[in-house]
Amino acid sequence: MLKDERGQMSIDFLAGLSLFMLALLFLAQFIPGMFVPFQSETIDLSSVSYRTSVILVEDPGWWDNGTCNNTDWENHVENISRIGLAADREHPNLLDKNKINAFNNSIDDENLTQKLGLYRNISGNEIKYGYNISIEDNGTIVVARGDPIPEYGDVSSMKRIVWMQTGSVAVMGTGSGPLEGHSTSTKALIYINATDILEGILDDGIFIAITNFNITNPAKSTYKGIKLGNEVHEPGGSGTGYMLKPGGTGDFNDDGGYVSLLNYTSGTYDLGNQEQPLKTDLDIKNGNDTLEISLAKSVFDNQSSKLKIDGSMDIYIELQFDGGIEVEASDSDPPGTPVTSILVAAYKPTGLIVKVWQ
Amino acid sequence: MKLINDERGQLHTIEGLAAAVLMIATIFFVTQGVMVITPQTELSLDVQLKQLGSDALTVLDADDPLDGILLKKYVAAWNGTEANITHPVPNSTDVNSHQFGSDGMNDLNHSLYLLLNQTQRDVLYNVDFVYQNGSSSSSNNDLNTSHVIMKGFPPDNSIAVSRLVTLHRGDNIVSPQLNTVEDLDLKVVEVRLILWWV
Repeated sequence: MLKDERGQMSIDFLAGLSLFMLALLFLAQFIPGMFVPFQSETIDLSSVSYRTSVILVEDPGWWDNGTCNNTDWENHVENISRIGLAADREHPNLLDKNKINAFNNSIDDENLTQKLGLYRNISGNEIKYGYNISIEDNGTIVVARGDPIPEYGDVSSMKRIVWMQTGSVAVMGTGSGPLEGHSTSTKALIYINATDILEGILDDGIFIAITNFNITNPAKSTYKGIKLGNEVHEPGGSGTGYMLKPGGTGDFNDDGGYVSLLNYTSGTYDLGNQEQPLKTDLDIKNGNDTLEISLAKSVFDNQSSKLKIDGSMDIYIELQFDGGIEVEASDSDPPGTPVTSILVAAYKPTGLIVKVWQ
Repeated sequence: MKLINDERGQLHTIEGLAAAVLMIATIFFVTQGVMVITPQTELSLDVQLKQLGSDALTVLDADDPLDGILLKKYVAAWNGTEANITHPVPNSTDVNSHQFGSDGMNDLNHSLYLLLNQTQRDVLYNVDFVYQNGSSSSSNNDLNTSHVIMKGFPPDNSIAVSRLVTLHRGDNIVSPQLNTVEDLDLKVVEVRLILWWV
């Protein structure tokens, strides 16, 4: 039995085979380990923050309930398809105020995470990113959604420069036609409809800007241009200044019923003094000057004076100028330029910052 | 004694050894040539800067109800003075605006400074206007580049963004270089903003 050499493998062959198998097993274990970094779940956080900023800044959003759809998702919060803050598709980087308000208040965190895609799927589970989306105006944060920024770990941030809508301004002089007034007066008339007041047009205050004055008769004496009132006059009279007339018929031959808006005495504004119209010594020197009238909401909330506006009456704003002003006789009833026909959105540049972390 | 000096019975072992060495050498040579993927962190800084520049030009190109299109006004109001290192911000675009006000000298610089200053890091920029030399009917159609703001020589990590502005005769073009528009022609100017982190 010991001398029989049949049925045996040589030791030489076994040695060579085992060396080869060892090398093979080593490689089989080593090579997949080389590919692990390429298949791992390392996420590129900067691409997430960039894409979120693009969705918010350049997309107006979309809602769809099966029968109708449109971009005003802020009015249809339960049927949102996409969230975006842009006013419309043709104007990226312009953020609409209603959308910003809806983004801030009307959507809960879960819905926001879903609609902005701030999660990833790992074998069927949703792992949500932490996020902080804010709009910053010159260092002050005006809108913020999300969690506080963690103090450690990777946080990727993307900042965009945007126009944020601050409110509305009624602009006259750039394509809106001449100032209108009552047929026999030389006072310009702007009116705010009672229905619009009820619908909230005064909520942010009223801001009126008149520009492109065509100056033909510079006022006399020491002023080089048209002077806007610096004398005290009786309410409703033939004087100059800003006067507010709640109610009324817009008939400016009617002397009564004027309530002066503000009384300016050596640097302070006072509300509700009915005797004295607003004194100004504004000088409009050339056509590029802009006359701005700013009526804050607090003016209309003044409970104790006649200035309390409840939407049951139209409001007329009358403007008179020292050198006189030519107005076109208004053929509409009520007379004057309605504020809603000249309202445009007012914007200011701000920054929108998206921060995303694991 | 006989075992060590005996040369028989070694071939299979050597063959196994050679095969093992061959496999390991192959893997070694293959992995030498594979590139290691670097993290994308350097590129993300570029994206932020490029987006800021593009946003700044987009914001200036928007139609404001009171100011109009400011970028167009700056290009039209440019008085032709070129900038260089000794005069980085010459007094050349004086346009009063409701949004940004006016500093009476170079309002394009003023607005860009206010917009780009919203970042926490320091940014320097140059602005060039690129336009066709002469009017469209003349035979000289070379492209001219004029430096309008030159705050430095752009380093390697700078990026450039452009925006095209179209002017016509009614826009009151001031500079002689751009005011070559015949009656119904258009003048297209590329406003190039070159930005870099400092």
